[in-house]
Amino acid sequence: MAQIEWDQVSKWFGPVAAVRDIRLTARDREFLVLLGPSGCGKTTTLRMAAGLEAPTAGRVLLGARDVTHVEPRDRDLAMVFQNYALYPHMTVYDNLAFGLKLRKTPPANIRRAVQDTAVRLGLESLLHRRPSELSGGQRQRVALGRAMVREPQAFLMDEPLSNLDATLRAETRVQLKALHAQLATTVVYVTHDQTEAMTLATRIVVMSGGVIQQVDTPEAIYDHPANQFVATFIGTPGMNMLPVLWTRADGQLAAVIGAQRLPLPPGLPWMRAAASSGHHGATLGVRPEHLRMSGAPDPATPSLKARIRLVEPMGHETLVHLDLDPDLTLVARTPDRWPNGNIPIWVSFDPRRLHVFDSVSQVAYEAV
Amino acid sequence: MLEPIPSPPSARPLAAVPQAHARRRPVPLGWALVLPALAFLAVFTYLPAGLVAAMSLFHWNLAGFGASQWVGLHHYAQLMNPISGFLQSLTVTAYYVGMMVPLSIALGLGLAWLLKGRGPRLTLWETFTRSAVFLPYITPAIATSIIWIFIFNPQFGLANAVLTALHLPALGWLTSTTWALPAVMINNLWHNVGFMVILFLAALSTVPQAVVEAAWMDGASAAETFWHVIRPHLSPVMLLAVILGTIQAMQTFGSIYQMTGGQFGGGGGPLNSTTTTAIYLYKSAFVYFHYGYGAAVGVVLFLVMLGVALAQKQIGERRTFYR
Repeated sequence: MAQIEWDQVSKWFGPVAAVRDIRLTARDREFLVLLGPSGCGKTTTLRMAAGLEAPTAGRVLLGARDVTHVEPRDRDLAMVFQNYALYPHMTVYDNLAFGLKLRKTPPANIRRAVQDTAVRLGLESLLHRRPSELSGGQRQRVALGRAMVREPQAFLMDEPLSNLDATLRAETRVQLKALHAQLATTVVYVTHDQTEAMTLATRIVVMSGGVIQQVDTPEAIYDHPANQFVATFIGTPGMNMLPVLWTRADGQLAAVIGAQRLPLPPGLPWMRAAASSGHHGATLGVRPEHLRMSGAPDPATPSLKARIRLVEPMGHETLVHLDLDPDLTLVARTPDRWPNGNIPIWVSFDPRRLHVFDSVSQVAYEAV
Repeated sequence: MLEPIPSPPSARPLAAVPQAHARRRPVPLGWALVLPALAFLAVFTYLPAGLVAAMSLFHWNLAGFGASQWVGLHHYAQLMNPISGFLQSLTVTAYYVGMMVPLSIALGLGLAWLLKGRGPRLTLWETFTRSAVFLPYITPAIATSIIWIFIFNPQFGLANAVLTALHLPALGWLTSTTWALPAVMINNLWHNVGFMVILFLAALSTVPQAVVEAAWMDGASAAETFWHVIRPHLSPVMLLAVILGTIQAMQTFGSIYQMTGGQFGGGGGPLNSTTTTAIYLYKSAFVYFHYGYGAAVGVVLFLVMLGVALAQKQIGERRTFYR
């Protein structure tokens, strides 16, 4: 049981910064997910915790112990690799037992530990097989078992589900969550799949360009993205972004979107920050599920005129692509069915659901 | 040739459709394709080998079978007589092979480990050092052996200069019955190690980095990682290296011949201390002109090599991990 801390950690590969000045703590027993697009530095961050990569600057702490220059073998962490990295020449039993044998665990204890882990993961009947004789899902469970069997201080997982097919991935995700609850051990988990991040994480760390964009609970990240990157990266499809200019009419703030004017009620939480920024415009963000479509304007809520360009029926919901202007588009997500075709409609939304980002720094005003 | 008429599309399951790979090419075409290679092998390998086997049963005369005298297995009986020196040559060969194979594999693997690329791409220095290690292998042993004769010169040679500098006694090297064979071994290790390095560089590049890292995470030290994880990945190449290294060592001729004064009487000295079976064969046939006897030596050497290689394969495969 341990806490892992990255203290002002940076990693340079030649002239390229993979990770810049990371300050982050994976709390004891937490399921911390590092999420971001490929090349964002999440795997490097994980590997520095493992000791497989040495930081160019900064320290890595395990609990109170500085492990920056400690070999991987002396950190007592377990890692699950993306391609599982099982020992191909060993049976499942030996794969599980290897770490314990190296630690000179008494044979009887090894047998018991391997047996327990095998039962827990449903591997009992596979113990005498080689990895090449296993399916992808079985290999994944062996990789997990190899990490679990020696009860490490924390688990590091590098996209462990990405080589599984969609159905198996969903199943294993649930198992992983249950397993974390049972084991009550710190997990640091790297993924580019936001569904995994949202469903598994205690907290999510969103990374981009080697820099942490936001660290918070899945709900907070979704509901209060700190900047435009997080807003568009999280959610499928991501948040709609509309560049706007501010205008005032009858003492009330309104946003000019393309050729349309959207009056806004007073007293919204971000307005003070927007005003003090001194910018004439900003970027409005609204999640697809917060857009409502109707044949006539709703007098109670601000509405915009739009046309349906394309409809994607998904079964349980429909994604409707809308044109506000030829170069201003929105995606709405609705449980209703909508016909395809160039149909004029009205889009409205609750102003309290609006996210407003600084047009220069791209940071959310509510977070300022 | 008529093409088979395609059957009309129907609701039959796919398995009922004749599979393309089930159709076989006519056998004669296959033979025609391998014939050139086969003919070459027959004329230049199998036929001479058969002739050698036949020659070993005659007191051979260069004029041909008609002029030669049938002696049956007489030469083979002679070989087994300790006075003939053949059994001693086998002992020398066993010593030479027994030293050369493990040493060249250890040195080859060690150098490969040092030379394996550390980054995503080979640096100029890495390319240079790799080429440097491989270079001796592609130079003719007869030529480089002359350099080694100079190195092992008791008075002016580099080898004794180094020994003296280290306050060790100078050695007679090629004039000593104890040190002549080790001197030859040093030459051949230097000459042949490049081949082993190439084999092991290729093998090392197939070890997945993630598996090595998994071992580190599991708590393995560098030595434990090598022994438990990397070594099993190398085992198929290790077996190949043992078999090829043994065959190569058993066949070594040129460098021994050159270094031990072959041009002055067949080499293998002093006092037959470097007379391997290959040297013995050459001297029997081409110094003493006992062609039939030399042929018998060749046949026995072939059978010994075949036996050793088969035994190595048999024992080795049980310890080898194939992916």
